[in-house]
Amino acid sequence: MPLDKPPHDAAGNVEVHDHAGILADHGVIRRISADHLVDDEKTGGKRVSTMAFGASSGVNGGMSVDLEESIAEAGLDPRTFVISPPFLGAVKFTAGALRSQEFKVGYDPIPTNPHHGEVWGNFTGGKKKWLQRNAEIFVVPKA
Amino acid sequence: MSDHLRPNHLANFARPPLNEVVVGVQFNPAMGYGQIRAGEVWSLFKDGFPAVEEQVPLPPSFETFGIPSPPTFNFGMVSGGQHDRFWFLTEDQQELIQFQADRLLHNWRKVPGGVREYPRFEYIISSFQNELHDLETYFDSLAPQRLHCTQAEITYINHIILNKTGTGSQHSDWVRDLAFGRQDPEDINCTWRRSLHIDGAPRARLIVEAKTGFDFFQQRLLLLNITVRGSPLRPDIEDTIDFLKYGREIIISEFASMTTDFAHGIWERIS
Amino acid sequence: MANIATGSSSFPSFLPSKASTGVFNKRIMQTVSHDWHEAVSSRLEYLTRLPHNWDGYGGKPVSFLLAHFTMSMLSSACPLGSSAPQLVPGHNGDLQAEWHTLEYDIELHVLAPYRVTAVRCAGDDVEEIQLTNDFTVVAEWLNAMEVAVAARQAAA
Repeated sequence: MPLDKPPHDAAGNVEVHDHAGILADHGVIRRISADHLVDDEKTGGKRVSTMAFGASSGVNGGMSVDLEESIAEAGLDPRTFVISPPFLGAVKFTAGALRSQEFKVGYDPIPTNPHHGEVWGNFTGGKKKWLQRNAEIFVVPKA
Repeated sequence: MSDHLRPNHLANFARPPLNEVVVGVQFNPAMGYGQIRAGEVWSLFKDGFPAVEEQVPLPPSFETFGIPSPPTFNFGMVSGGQHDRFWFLTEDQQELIQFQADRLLHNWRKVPGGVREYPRFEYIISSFQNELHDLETYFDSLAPQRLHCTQAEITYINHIILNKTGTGSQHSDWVRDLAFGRQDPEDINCTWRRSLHIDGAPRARLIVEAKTGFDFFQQRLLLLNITVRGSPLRPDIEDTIDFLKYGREIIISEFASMTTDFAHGIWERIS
Repeated sequence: MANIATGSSSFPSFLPSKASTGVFNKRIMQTVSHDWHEAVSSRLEYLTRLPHNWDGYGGKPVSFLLAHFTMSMLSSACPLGSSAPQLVPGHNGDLQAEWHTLEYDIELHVLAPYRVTAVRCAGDDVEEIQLTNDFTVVAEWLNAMEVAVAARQAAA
């Protein structure tokens, strides 16, 4: 079912919100570049840096994501959709897991991506660490 | 604007070996500004600085603190098109304003044939403060913004003529720290640095450079450059000016302390 | 330093670059002492040349200013003999220098010159501090990290 339009402020920017149409088990995908990969002795190889997870500096800036259900409902393959160039990988969370960390998961369609969403919250070092540890590999990033 | 009065406690010389004074700030590049607008910046100062020259730009500079006497860590960088550094000069070339996208500096210097005496720091800092405000007003006209100053620096460049023979011919006759034992070197080239703390936190660095050179008349010189460089407490113009005044006091104090009684006699120390 | 021949001075002193009218300029300054200097320099240069939208969400390249600040920061933070940092770009033109060993994760998120969030994780313990120009504590962290690695390797 298509998501309801998100709330906008007077300037036309999407306001921070937690979208009721994005259910707890819905997938929230974050694209990962090869430049986000770092070596970690603990994993014995490459893993995603916490820098892959953070808010943009714009008005009402959150962490950009792609909404899996929205992509699938449009008849597209989410794994193919998110790795359009120059991306080499993606990770996934569930909306419920993000909300358990006091993040809000919202809908923010943009001209270049009608399935674009935002994750808003306090991206402290600890939170970014949580995101890094709990990200499920959705498309394997290639170094 | 604040009054700029010379503090009474500062050492004062009637004939200091001063060759050049530079005050400058580094700031975040302004929104809406590009090199195509450099002429508009020149027009802010053109009345007093009618001549212009282009120079290579200065790289960004940051004083950071941590492990004692860290190595200076710079690197080669290939980049795209860069903003030139423009020199806006007075007719007699004794003063110049240096401008690039992230810097504004004001120099006073001795030039051959120059007639103007050193106008004193109070004049320079007052002029510089006005220039910063003019630049800020201009940038604000491009997009609402204030100058965000990340670093400020003040340098006093001294040319100390070394006598050919006798007293005054050795580096240590002029600068206490340059005693090299029985035989004075032909030439020297050294730098030393010290962190400066304000309210218990490192805020700036004092950098002293001493080097042997020759002037226009082939007289052997000791070049003594003393710099204070660091970040103002707040990135606004007023705090930046306060920082430069602080830097000046440190430099004068250091200069008086490191130079000898013989030197002070030659330079006619007043206080 | 003052240029005696012309009576003019540059501010501050450095070796002059090639003519500024060219598309590319290479400026090489002063000396290095870490054996990873070249690699870190190259990585920084690469990050300043990332294309716009490199992360698919409108990401910007790391700014030249930030890259320079990062080098100053690393010179103040990294004791001689410390391991090379890994440098990761951020969405907003920011970057992070990070180290990961069995014992510690150390991350320095450079948001802007003189705005650094330093995080150290040891297991589930997370220590986060805001830094501006003083990186003494990071040097202590890196020392502790190297000591732990050396102790582990010695015990092995």
